[in-house]
Amino acid sequence: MFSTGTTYFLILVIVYILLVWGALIPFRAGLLYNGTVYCMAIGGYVAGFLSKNFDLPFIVCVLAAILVGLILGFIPALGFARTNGIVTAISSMALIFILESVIRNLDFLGGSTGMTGIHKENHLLLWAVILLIIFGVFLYRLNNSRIGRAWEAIQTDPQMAQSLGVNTFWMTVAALTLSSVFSATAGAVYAFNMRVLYPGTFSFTFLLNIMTMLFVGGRYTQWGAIISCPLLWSISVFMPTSIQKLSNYIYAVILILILMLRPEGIVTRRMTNKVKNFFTAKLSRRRQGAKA
Amino acid sequence: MEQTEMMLKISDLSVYYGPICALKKVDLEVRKGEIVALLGSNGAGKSTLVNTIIGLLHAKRGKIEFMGRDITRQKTETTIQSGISVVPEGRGMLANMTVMENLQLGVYRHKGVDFNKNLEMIFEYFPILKERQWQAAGTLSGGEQQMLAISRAIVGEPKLLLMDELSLALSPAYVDIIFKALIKLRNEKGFTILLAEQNAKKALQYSDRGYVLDLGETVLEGDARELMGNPYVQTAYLGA
Ligand SMILES: Nc1ncnc2c1ncn2[C@@H]1O[C@H](COP(=O)(O)OP(=O)(O)OP(=O)(O)O)[C@@H](O)[C@H]1O
Ligand SMILES: [Mg+2]
Repeated sequence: MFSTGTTYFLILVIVYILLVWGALIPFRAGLLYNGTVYCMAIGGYVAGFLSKNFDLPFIVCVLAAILVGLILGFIPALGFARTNGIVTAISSMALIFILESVIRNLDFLGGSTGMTGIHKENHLLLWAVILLIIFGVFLYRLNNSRIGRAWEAIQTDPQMAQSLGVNTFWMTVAALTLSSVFSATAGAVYAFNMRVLYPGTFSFTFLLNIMTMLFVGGRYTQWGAIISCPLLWSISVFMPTSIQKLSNYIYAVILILILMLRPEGIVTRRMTNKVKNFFTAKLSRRRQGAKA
Repeated sequence: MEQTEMMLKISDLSVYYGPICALKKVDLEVRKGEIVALLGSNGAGKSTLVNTIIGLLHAKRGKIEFMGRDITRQKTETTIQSGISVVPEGRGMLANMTVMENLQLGVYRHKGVDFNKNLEMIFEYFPILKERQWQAAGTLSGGEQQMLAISRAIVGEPKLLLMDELSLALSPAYVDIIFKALIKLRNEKGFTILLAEQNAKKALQYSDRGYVLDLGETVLEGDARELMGNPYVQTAYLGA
């Protein structure tokens, strides 16, 4: 349907959207969590390892990646749920460096030379789109559920949330664990797209990209990522090779500009609230009309 | 006073912030259907008491019983679930969430509560909230926010309602409107209310009994009318 280049590009955009969602969920609960790349690496390596050694089908590898990501995301979450602000941000970032040195020393994961031989999945784009839709619908429903409201309450005022009966500790752990699931899935798709993984890929640069996309798109709604990911990723792909080395700086400049000019990002809460209220109000009016 | 069912019984309660003693051997009782005022000036320990009852703070000594059960060391969410709601100091609005979402959070821990039915009752009491239900809570006026805070606390049909500084930053006319709504709620729904208030005059006017806290100690207690006539209360809290 698409050329190889386009397919490759689109899949990476989807990977980024999933990762940005992975960063968004803890943010909704008031945490600046930088463990997304860590969980992505876990998902990538689990999927890659299973495909390479056992030739398991794509979807089985994804499910395994989710499972392992969930467990390895849950354990540190028990610690992070007791921290906040800058402490969470810094200590979760440290997970990337720890994992990187662990992978470098594990020969069955390819060590420093990287992992090759991940099998080709012919319908990867289709799978990626399906996963994107499933996760997107799930996240939407979650955001508008009892749990989503509890997270938002924690973000606004943890003590207030607690006095409404929210168990802030376990709700935070849940947010971080769910974030790991999104990131691990993104990692698995990424592994099948690249078909070769290096420990250094899952680096600080990746994290910077994700955070830029989150803040540029809008960190309060899931729709921001759908705009910012393709936009920013095409900047770094389609820009002339001569300045591609500068993409880190360009991202940083864009991030700073957006935060100064439009602090909530492109898609703001007011925008989504307007759309949502338009529909809910209309719906309830119709319901009342039917009753009368 | 006739023997009605005991709602809240606090005995010998002491609470510390580090080395600072905020509550010292406090005894307090609230019976079913009563409106009890908890008076005291800035720093007297009213908020500390409210927060200790719901388990946000922990007592060093003493006991808190709710409907005969010891809740002194109970987790906040369990206490909320068992039927205590709080209107926190400074309204505690979740400003970016809509009025409706705020109300929905009022039943976060409440199973078996008919949210829609209670919502209709609340909209009858406070029609303005119905009009504004899709609006962000932070865009309501101060008085409307206070109505929302009360509504959020009662939508889960609590047995005991704790209100911290209800009259804060409200005009006297608005305070009357809100207190009258509370009285009506108590009479119609049988709520029991503990009111922490600096505004002694209004609080005593609308309550049955009162306690006066000073520097963490109960210095006076009694019938609301008696307290209003008490010379100490008059000079210290009523500015007479
Ligand atoms: N987190 C805290 N750490 C240390 N001391 C505190 C803390 N919170 C309150 N205090 C102290 O405890 C005492 C009681 O405070 P509290 O907030 O209960 O007073 P209050 O009666 O609610 O006053 P106000 O009418 O001003 O709200 C005060 O002396 C206050 O300084
Ligand atoms: Mg107070």
